[in-house]
Amino acid sequence: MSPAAESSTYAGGRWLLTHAHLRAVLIAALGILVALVFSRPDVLILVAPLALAAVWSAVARPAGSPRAVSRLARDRATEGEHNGIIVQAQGLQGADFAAASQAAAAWVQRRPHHGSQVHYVTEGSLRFTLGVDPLRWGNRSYGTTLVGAVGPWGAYSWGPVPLPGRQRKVAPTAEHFDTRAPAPHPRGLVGHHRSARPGQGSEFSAIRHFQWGDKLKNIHWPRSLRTGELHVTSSYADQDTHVALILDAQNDLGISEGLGGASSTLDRSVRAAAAIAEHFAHQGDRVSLQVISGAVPKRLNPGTGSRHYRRLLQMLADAVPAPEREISPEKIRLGLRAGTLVVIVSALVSEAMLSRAAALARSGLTVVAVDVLSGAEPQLQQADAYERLAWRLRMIEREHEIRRVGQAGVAVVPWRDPGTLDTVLRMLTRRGGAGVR
Amino acid sequence: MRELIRHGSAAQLLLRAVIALAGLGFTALLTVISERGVADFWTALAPAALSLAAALWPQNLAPLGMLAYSVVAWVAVNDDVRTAWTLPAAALLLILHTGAAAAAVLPVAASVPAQLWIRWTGRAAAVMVVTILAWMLMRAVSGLLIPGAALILLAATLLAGAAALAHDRWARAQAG
Repeated sequence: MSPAAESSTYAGGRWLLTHAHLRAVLIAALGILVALVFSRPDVLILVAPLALAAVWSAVARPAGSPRAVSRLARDRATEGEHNGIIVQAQGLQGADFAAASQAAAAWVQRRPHHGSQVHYVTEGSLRFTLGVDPLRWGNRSYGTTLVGAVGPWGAYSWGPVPLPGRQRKVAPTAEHFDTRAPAPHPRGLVGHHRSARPGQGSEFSAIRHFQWGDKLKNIHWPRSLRTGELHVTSSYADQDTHVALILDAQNDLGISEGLGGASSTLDRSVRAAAAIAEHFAHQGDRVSLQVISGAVPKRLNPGTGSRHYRRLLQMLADAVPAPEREISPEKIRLGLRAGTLVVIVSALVSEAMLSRAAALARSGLTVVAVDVLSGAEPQLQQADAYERLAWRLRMIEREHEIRRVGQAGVAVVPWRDPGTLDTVLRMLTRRGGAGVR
Repeated sequence: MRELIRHGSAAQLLLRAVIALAGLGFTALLTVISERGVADFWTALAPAALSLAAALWPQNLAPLGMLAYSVVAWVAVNDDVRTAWTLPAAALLLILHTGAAAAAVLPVAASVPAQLWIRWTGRAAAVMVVTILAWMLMRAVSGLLIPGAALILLAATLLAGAAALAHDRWARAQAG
């Protein structure tokens, strides 16, 4: 069975009389009765159109066995992208028109906005496409589709029959992100970043004496002729790095209106994590992901490339906000070797998350905490004075906690624009030049 | 009704207006024929209220109530069986019935394809042509006192209707 067939839903049924047909029959019968009993041919003329409509409807009743199948146009969608539910209705011989309506669902934008379509039936089958564009990442239900058809004079109808909605994972859209700064401590075999060690690479290091094993093409002839000894041009090795993304999904502060609207802290976290992962995975670095949540904690092993990035997006889409129940200190550094660049994407309101960041920094790793709450604080217009005061106090406390984490060696940067990590990565690279901790 | 006001498409609102206007037109006809004035409950106020109810709730019993009341009121009010007012009255009842049938099955918010309007209007026109022929036959035979004239008229009307239906099917087969 194809994936499309697996994801499709089916509904059948039969043609049923409508109120309109019963009405036409009853009124025609009443009129004929009155005309015959009271010898009133004018009443016969009065109800003649309805009698004709009733006879016409009965003779021209739809003949087919109506059924409908629906499926999603795209099983894997990204928030903000167009998607659609394709409804294929068959057995509509003799029908006048068919209609389909898509039920409203949270964070799904319908096209047309009311979700209903009416199509004129010319043959026995019809195909609708109802737009359902996901507005927010996560496990989204696309809602139930109702489909039906109507015969001549609205006398016979099929449906509306429900085609159950589907739930599909919607991947987050990566925010715009770019960085030109190198990763602080590349330790891999081949990659994009300049290593601290000399080796095979593209960036010039020095001109030194020839050694056994040097390639002849690297001989620097002007210096060799001038000094009378063979000299070669050496370069720094190019290496990749392991970027360990840690997504804090313990809290979701603020209101989410989907892509293009107001964003909650978890929205910003997920989209920022997607952007950072996209950048590093596409430049050849190994990216791993850990989702910290009490509901569905998840871990993705390091990998690189587009396929790995898609897996990572699917995992980000699973993030569900829930506070972590317990932290085992021995598992905090699980799978993170020396030289790993740890990027924590968090609202930094959870004390547990701050403790984790400090512990990782103390263990010798380079830790960057991306603060998604800074500059995007939740709207508090509906909060009362006490709630606002409580929020201000919590923010002051948070600033203090962030300062303490900074003292422990964690670089905290607010999530702002494409160059968010540039300055901090350059600083960490310079610090790393003195020796990797 | 709230859904109609909030989400009703132009086509749906037009259909409701057609139902209401057809019902009010029939009410006006009753008022003219009865000569009882616009404030009379049985010939003006009651059918007007039923017309509005049929426009607002076409999917339930309101249109049936309006049509049944119309037939009974016509019998009570009209004394001249050969009057030409029978034809516009029949046309208004057909428009009311057809509009209510369409309004009941079309999604409130959806727009309606133009072909659908054309098809339904064409059918109603065909039925009215047959009705006019039947009325002319009725005019012809009502003065002759033919036994069973009403039955003959009924049979003739059904035959003409069958001819209109056959033409519609032929036209659809040609289009398909």
